[in-house]
Amino acid sequence: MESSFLIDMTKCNGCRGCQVACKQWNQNQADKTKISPKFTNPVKLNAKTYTNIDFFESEKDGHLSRNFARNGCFHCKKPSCVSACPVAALFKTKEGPVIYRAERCIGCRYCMLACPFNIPKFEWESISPRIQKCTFCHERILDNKIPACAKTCPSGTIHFGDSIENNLKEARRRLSENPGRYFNHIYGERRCGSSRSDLEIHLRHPGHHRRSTGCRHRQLDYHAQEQKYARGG
Amino acid sequence: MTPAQDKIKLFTPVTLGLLIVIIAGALAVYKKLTLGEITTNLQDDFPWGLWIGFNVLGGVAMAAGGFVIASAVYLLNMKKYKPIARPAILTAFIGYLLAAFTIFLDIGHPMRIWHPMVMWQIRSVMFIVAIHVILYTTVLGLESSPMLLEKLKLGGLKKIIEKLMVPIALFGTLLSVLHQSSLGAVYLIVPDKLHSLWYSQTLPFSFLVSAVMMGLCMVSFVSILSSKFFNHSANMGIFSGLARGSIITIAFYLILKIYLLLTGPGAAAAFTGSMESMMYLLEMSVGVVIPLILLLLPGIRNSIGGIFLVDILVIGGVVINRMNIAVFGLLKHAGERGVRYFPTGNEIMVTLFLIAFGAVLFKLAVKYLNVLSYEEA
Repeated sequence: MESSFLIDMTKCNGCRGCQVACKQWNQNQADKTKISPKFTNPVKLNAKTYTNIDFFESEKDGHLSRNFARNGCFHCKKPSCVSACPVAALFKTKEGPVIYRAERCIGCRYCMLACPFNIPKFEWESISPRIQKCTFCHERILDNKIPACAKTCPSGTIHFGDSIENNLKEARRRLSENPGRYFNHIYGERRCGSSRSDLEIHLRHPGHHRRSTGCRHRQLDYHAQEQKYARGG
Repeated sequence: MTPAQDKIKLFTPVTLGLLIVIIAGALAVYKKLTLGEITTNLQDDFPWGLWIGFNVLGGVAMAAGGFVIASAVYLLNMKKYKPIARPAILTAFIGYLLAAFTIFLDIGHPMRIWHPMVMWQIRSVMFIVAIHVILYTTVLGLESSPMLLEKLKLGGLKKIIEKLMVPIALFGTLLSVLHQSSLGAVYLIVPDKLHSLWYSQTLPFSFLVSAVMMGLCMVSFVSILSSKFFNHSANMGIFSGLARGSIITIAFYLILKIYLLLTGPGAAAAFTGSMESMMYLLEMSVGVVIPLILLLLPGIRNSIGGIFLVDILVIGGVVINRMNIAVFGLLKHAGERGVRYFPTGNEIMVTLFLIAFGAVLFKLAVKYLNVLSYEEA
């Protein structure tokens, strides 16, 4: 895979353009939503929403600061969902994206249980239900196009076009040059011990790390984990 | 038909009650098949519920008696247990059929249930589980086929199968050991979701041990129940033998669980007063500690009533264990994501339907096939 995402959430302005572009390209219906206290909308991912921007508030220099994080499939290097699927309906393409072949799926939903980030979603209302998740716009990638969310992002949050190695270098540079701007961790480089992504790395706001999905136990023990990684664990 | 079988009445009040449950449950099944998963309370953050916990995990564990007795009789040549081989294998067969039917209902595309047979994904635990269900149900069908064949007067075919019984039983034992443990392995992939009171890397092993424990008690339970309901004489030697086996397995399981508790979350985790710790204590006291204490009392161990009580406790305890792993142990994680799960009436009705269906099926087999009076025949 030549190109991957570098998602720098400190650049995000919360316009949700990526959510809209994702829905447009995948022709997913809109959700019926209402304003929630957090302003995250839709509150959670579902079968019609592959990505959403998580709104949250934190305090910075005594002022209220509104920050964002992005939810969606990480396209893990060794995806739990793929290893769980009994019929290889979910599979990891050689280009990197984890995609879904609906015609094979039996609907056992083991992938939903297996994913540590609760990403695969199920069409509960359908009589012929499918699993739904971000495909990294695999068909666009094959056509040498940019994924819809990256194409539409106006603030430069979603950077697409470099290899994962270059993006990792760039992420490390940003972390070291801007102390305090980020939570000191590259999401997707190593996460949950083994499931690193080869398509997406996220840089997040300092206040966010305990709010992210998945890896509940390990987050509580975050600093011990960090030291373990530093030792090459 | 033997005189004892003649005496079994087809329509007793209990059977009529079961039939009502079956009719109501058939409607629930129809509703699920026509309306889809919307009839359940399952959600994105809680994809598996009552059916997987009770019917599949619980049902398969109940069926463990089949392989325990089949290997005792056909592989270890313990002739003493031959009279209960047929009811044990039949119970297991019915248990597996019902578990397979539940899986058929639970998945989103019931008509694609055959997919794992041709679309292999050998890294998936679920694939292993699917193949085991298919193969072992076939083996159990073969193991119980002599009952049907002698009724159909196909003596030749019956002889062939009885000649092949040892390899069939051997294959069945192999499959069953693997299947019981692979059901535990299904939950190895959720270290962050399953509560630490139940999650451990030895889940497959503890599933196997508890299944053997439950299997022994289930066989004894079914035999005692049939002797009561179907005027079949019970042999005390068999039951005390099964009880001895239960003592050994329960004691081993208790040591295993204490070891896992101490090396895992620590003993304090079981006494925090949270819902999980209460369920854990319930499971351990009902299914393990109380039965073990009762069985160590000679008065209980040597009476049919006492053994029957212990059987009920162990069966209940292991079912609670399976429910804890499939439902209660995952609720905390779901709760953090704002999801609560309680089965819908439809889900509960389908579960009751399957229990009633299994009981009626067993009764019909006892009445028309040579299940219980094997020795005399």
